[in-house]
Amino acid sequence: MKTFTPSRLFLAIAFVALAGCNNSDTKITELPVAEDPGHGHDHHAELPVGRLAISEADQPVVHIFDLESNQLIETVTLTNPASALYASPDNRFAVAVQRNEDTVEFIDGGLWQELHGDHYDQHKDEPSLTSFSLTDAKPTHYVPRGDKAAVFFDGNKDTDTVAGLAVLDDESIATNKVIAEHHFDTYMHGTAEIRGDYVLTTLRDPSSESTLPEQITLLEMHGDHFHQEQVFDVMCPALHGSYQTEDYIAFACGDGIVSIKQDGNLFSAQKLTNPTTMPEGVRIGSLKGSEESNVLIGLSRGGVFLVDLEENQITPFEWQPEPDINYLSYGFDGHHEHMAMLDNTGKLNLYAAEDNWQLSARIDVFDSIEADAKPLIIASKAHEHLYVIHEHHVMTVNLETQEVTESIHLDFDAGKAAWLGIKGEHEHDH
Amino acid sequence: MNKPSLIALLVSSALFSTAAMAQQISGKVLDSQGQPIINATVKIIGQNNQVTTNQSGVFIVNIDDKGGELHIFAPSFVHKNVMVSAANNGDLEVKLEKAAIEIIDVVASPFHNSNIESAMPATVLSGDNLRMSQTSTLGDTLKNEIGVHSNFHGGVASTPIIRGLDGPRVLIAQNGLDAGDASRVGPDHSVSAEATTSERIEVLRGPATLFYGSGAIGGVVNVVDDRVPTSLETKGEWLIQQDSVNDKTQVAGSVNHSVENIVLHLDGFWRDADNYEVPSEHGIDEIDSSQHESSGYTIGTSYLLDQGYVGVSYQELSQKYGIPGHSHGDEEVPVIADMSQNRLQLLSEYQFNHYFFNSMRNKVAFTDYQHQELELGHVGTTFDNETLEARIELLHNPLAQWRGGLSLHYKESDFAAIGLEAFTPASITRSSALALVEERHFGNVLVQLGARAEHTEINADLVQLPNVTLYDRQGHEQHNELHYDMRHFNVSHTFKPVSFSGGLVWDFTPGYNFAVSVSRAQRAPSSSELLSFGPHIGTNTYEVGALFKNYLNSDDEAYIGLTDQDIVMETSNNLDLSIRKYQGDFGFIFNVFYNQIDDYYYQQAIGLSASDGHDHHDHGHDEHGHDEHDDHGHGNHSDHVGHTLPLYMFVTTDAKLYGAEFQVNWRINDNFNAKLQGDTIRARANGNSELPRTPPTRLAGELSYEHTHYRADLKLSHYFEQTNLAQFETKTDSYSILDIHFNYFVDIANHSVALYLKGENLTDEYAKVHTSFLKDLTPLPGRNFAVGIRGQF
Repeated sequence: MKTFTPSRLFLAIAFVALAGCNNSDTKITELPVAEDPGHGHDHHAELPVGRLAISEADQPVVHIFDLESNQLIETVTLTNPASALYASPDNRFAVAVQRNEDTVEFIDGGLWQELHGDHYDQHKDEPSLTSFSLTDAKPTHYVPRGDKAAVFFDGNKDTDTVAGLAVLDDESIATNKVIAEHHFDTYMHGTAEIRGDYVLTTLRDPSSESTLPEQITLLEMHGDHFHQEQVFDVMCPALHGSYQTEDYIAFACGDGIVSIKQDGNLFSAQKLTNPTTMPEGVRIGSLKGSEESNVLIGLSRGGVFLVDLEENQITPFEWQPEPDINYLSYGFDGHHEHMAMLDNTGKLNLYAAEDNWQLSARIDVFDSIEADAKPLIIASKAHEHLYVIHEHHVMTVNLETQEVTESIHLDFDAGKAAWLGIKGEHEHDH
Repeated sequence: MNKPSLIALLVSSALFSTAAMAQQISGKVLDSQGQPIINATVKIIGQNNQVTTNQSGVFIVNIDDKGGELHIFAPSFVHKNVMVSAANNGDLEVKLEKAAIEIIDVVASPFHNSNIESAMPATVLSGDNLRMSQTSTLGDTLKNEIGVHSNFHGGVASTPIIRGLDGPRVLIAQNGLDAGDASRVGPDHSVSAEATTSERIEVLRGPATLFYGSGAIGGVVNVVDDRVPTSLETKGEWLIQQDSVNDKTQVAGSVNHSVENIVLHLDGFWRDADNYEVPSEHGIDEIDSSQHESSGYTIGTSYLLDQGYVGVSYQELSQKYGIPGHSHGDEEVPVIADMSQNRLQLLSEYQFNHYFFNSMRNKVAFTDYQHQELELGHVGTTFDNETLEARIELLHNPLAQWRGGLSLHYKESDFAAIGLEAFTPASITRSSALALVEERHFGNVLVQLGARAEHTEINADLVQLPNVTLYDRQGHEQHNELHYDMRHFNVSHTFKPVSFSGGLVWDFTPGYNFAVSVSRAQRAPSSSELLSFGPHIGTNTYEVGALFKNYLNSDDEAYIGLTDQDIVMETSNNLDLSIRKYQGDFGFIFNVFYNQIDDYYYQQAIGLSASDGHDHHDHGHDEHGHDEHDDHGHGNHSDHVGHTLPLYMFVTTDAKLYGAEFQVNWRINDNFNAKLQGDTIRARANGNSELPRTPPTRLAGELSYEHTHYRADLKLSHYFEQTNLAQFETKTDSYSILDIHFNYFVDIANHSVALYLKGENLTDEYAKVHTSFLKDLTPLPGRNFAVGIRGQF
């Protein structure tokens, strides 16, 4: 028979253990406030510089660069070349729109944060193509507002496919879902403005010749779908372009601007008609701005306009810093406090929203630039940086110091680009 | 956790050799009239195999040359143990007396005990009784058992209350190991142990810290299933049921199949219910957010040895249910709980020949649990709990006729609540314990003794003390002049609870016994009782743990700082007396108990409120508060100060709980059986104030009719009004519930099938549950009819 000597040991332990150990002890160590309290995170953790997703022109690939090291860290292969590249509302994902192939794919940029009690845990993962995609006819306008974004699918006239609308956020993308979706009864090149649980979007008369909508409707989100709450009487023929500020939602029409004001759950619309001074055949086709300012920027083929929604007037925008200057492309800084226009002399002109879009700075980015160039202006949402991508150059513009450096040299032709990372506090305002 | 050493111990159990000679012994099992008892089970104590008697009551077993002890039992008969040796061969006759009370073995205790033979009161729900009682929640399944009430949380998350205690004082175990869920920290968190696929549910009433540790000072509910099979039997069970009151559909089934010495187990269930209906009052005839859906499966396998078994199982479980009573201002915002759990369990038992020890039982479980609360699709709070638990029991050979053994126990729980309801910081609780239990017969007196020493550590890296703005009852902001937003602490608690118990069962005359159980049990407070600091939406309170204390500054303005008191353990001294008559046609069990609990942790309202952290929401709950009920309209002053919640501090006091329970059973004739049972309890804190949510006194009568193919049960339960109220608590009216169950049995080719009909709350009584946190919001369901079919083979 085998012996099992541990038995005596167990008994010995038992009696020692039972012989009157009977107490409680508490040790409390206060952690210094300034120090990281043990988990490698606190409220004010330094935000990473971020990553830049740049698609290769006409190729189904997106290159992801780390902006800390300025190194290529991943190349992601899409199903089709991206017709447009955007950042998801919280900048974790790149939204790769493939309009003609009726597809939207999502690339996880790998930088994101997660609420953990009173602080955020920052994640730094490898970028990768997610398994999530949207497939509906002709995804075109992508409108991020607050922590959500709307993807507008134009539908297809040829195949008689109706237009649709999907609302998503970073959490829903991460869980392969849309928050809510809606289908219209006809195709249209429409758009949508998310406002809390409401979405203001467009309607098109199915008998109309145009693919552009002419009316605006108010939808309310109910779980994963919408209920139509209101159709505005004020017509907006050839609607194209929209923006919203804290106080107004505006849509650009062939004949002017429809401005909608919200008072609780009441929405009222009015029309600013194009001024008679506006040249024939000119209309505002794109509205931009800042949530903080009720003066919008209206872009048209016949010049740039200021659309003052409080004063109800549309006036030409005297943006040119000097005569005979054209702008090649425009963008905004991470908090939409400044508009940036890159002009044909290679300079970046900054216009301050709080100063009624007055010119506030001119920064030399390129010594010279071709007259037909279309550089990309991409904003960091974490730091006061703009990235100007032109030909094979990625220039970093530090808006605080106005320093410009060539951070990355590309060995491919850039198509579209988006900044990915963790955005700073400012963006939580709305 | 020192995993290698544990594994070494598990493996070592397989290394003991057996080298004994087997002897065949035959015997006969008879009833008191000398008629053979067919299908009686004969088990050799200390061995894995069991046999059943044939048509003549005859059995044949193999015992070793030293002889052995047989445990013989049959339904409706009193169990019997007999010592046998080779000399008994052929002339062994065992007479079993008729049992007046169904006798069922309890596996939750390390002794070989039944509900009748134990010094400590125990009840077991199994077989058809379990199938007819099972509901969507463990609390509601057990609510008709003696001494057990449900904290009825709208039928979605009800958990059992044993003799007035619940939460961190009642352990919910699954196959003897902690269920590893978050049900101990919030009444709106459901239990993850599933009744529909279980074989039996055992309830130990009274301190069971000896076997289960700190969490079991008030009792244990052990949900037992066959996920790790212990016999080669091929068997299966299935059930389909439809209920009317909430349009509930449920399907459950399990099957065991053996291939040589390997047995496979598979079980699964699915259940889907809508909101339940209530008798219409104030225009409300349905309880919003009481819908629930759950499903799960378990696969298991075991390898049976001659002297034992070893097996593993894996379980996945998910539940999605509404949480009633979450409303935000005038708008009802549905809150959904989404729970998932994966559980891996390893069980083994091995008998061996050794000069000192004779068998070893091992239990190991790893549980990964997540519970999320979602508002409008967004995750408000996530509760995560990862639990690793291991228990090794080593039983020794009789030593001066003492039987017993050692139990080594380790448990580690990594718990965190993240998000809106992050009132408990992340913490790791580790406890290890050593226990010794022994029993011996002195003539007709059985003596049971036990002792356990435990070492528990609670470590939290980041405990927060926010400079929370407090308001007094008049809504005046307290200007505390503290110059910080938040203080952070690293906290480590060490507790060394020790428990002792002694019991005796005296068979003073045949068919009767008298049992006494005396114990002193200690409990280490749980991490949520110590470290909490924040809004708890589930109970609509702002919870502050015992690590903190409220003070007044020189201007008499309140603030909260670290406590200046010692953090102590809860200690309970308990006396339990039972007298039982269990033989013949008439039987009874009477229990009285008295628990004196020193340093009883409970939540006390201190007349202050704190902001819930999101002023734009108005949580218009109308539920009562946590331990002390909160009906004092804390929202009165919220116009000025945003939304606040009443602040409850965990404090200690001395408490006394005492009460009585009885059960009388009368087998009127072969067909009719009558049962009467009742319980009453009084729970008082120091200074003779009442503890809240104390179960009301209850009386229930049941008349059963049984025929070859039928069984019908008529049950009337009366709950008396509860007028023993804690501060801010309101009286709860009495009510009576009438239930009727009808079963039709039919055998179809080795397959026993039962068609059944249940009628519950037939009089459509409007009943509020005093033990519920949501007593005013969620009355009991109205009249319900359920129809179902179940089978077993």
